[in-house]
Amino acid sequence: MKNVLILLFLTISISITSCNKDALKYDFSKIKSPSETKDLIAKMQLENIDKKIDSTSNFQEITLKGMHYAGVPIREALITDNYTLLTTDSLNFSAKKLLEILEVEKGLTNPTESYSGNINFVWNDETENKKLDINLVNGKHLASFRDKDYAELTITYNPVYNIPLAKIHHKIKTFENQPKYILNIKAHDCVYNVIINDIIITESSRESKFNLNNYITGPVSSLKIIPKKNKGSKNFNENAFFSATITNKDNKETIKKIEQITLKGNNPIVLETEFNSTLPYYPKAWTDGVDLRNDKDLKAKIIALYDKIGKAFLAKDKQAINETFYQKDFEMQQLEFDTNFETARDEWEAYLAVQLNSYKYTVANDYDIVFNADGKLIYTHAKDKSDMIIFTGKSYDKTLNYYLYQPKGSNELKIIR
Amino acid sequence: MIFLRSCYKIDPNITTKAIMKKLTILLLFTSFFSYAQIDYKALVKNLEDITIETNLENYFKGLPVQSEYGSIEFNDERFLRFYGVIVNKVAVNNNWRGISLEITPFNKVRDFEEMKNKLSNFYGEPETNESNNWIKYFWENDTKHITLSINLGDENEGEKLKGKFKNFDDLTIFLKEKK
Repeated sequence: MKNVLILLFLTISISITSCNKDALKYDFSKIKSPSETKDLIAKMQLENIDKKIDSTSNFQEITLKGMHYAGVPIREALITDNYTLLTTDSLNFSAKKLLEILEVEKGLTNPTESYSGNINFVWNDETENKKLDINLVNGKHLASFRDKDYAELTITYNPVYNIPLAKIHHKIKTFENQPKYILNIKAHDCVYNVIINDIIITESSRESKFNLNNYITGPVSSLKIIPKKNKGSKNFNENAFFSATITNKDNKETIKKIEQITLKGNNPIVLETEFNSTLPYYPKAWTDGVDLRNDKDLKAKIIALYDKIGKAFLAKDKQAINETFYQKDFEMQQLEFDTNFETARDEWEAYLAVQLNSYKYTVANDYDIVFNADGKLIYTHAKDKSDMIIFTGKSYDKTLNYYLYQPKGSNELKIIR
Repeated sequence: MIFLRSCYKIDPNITTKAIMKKLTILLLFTSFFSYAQIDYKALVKNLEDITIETNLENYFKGLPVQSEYGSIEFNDERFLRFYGVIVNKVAVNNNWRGISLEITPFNKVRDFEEMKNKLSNFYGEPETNESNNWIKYFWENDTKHITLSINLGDENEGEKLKGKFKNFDDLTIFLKEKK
């Protein structure tokens, strides 16, 4: 008897499943790419010859029975090369059901209200973007959906990048404590140089905020700030002052404070201190770099590196670009503890833009070299061009310049910041 | 049963009972995962429960949050209640004045009456301040200072609405430090 009941239950379940399968044949929730969308359209075309669906067209408006998104009936599908727009029917709480299905699939996200009064939910991830637009027909709000409320779901697919530079976020480690050291400056009527761990990060600046993590390689860091009188002035003005604080943005803790001082006279003032720069991750950075101060071939090496970069971009050599920039991009993103997929993808798309838009590059021939970190880290200031390397295209102009170092055992410079 | 055995290439030594048991478990297992859902009820927050001691990060865990100009905002009415009344959004501000909750209800007279009654039941009769166009209600105890103000309809809105609830102007709860 027990077996009969179980068999009956199974039979009924299979019957229900079979019935649903006939009614809901075209499931958009299973589609994960433009090519899969085309395959679905082709299937719809094959199974509905009288409906004149054209799977080769780049603009399709389809109303077919059996279209659904994970069981929520879709009244109309608008499919183009760039997006798919699905409109649910206005029956049976379709908007509520579709929202709940998407929240199981993608997680909860903040609703926003559009100008038309509709409520929007947006989910963006590495492979696709989904935007749900809820139209309240007889419902009052999200806590009071009614049966006629319907939804429009817009799906766009992101390009797939297999290059490691675009997927750095997969390698980023996170920690319980993730300090982000920020130097905040309050100053009046002066400019200043900021030097961290013997690296000049700015000269004659008036900026008030500096992210320090990119220049940290150990648990204790040195900071030197040199306030100077304004250019053209004989002395500091009578109201000139300077103060600074280093804070940990993660927990808002003050790490170090330079109390306000009044600036007098005409000589620069040197303020030096050390601060606790503990991080759960220290980059290799330039720590294994060689001292370049007496390198007779340094100028040639600098030109060679920028030439190599120029050639790699013009040849659209993705592997060479990856090799050139990976250490810099990885270390900088890890020092921010940034697991956001958009960071690396945006950076990669910026490199792609240089590749796509440039037809030539120019490297500066005359430049000053600034030595940092006991000669291990260099930065160059171009004198005969606007920057060290300039990419040119039709109505396109892009300049690049980087901190460089030479790893021990290598004869070539590498980009590091 | 012969069909099932042949379909699934089952060892002929396994009994029919064992086969049925496995199929039933498989079907139930599949059903469970087909209907995975979010427990929306468990995410509902009753804002009147928040005090100065509340760990806000833990309290609002699970809800999507928006940060703007030093305040954090929750704006999904599915999860926000104030004395049982569904509210549109809440902003949690932490500034020189302390921590406050700015609640935005939906503009329903029934919601206003419900909130006012509940607050009066809990905190006693409010102090009021009023004009032709608005009324402000104030409640206070050792832990909270609450302001509820509404706008009233005027002659331009017709006799029905004149002097009656038109919309909410402000509902703010200041959380007081324990002395």
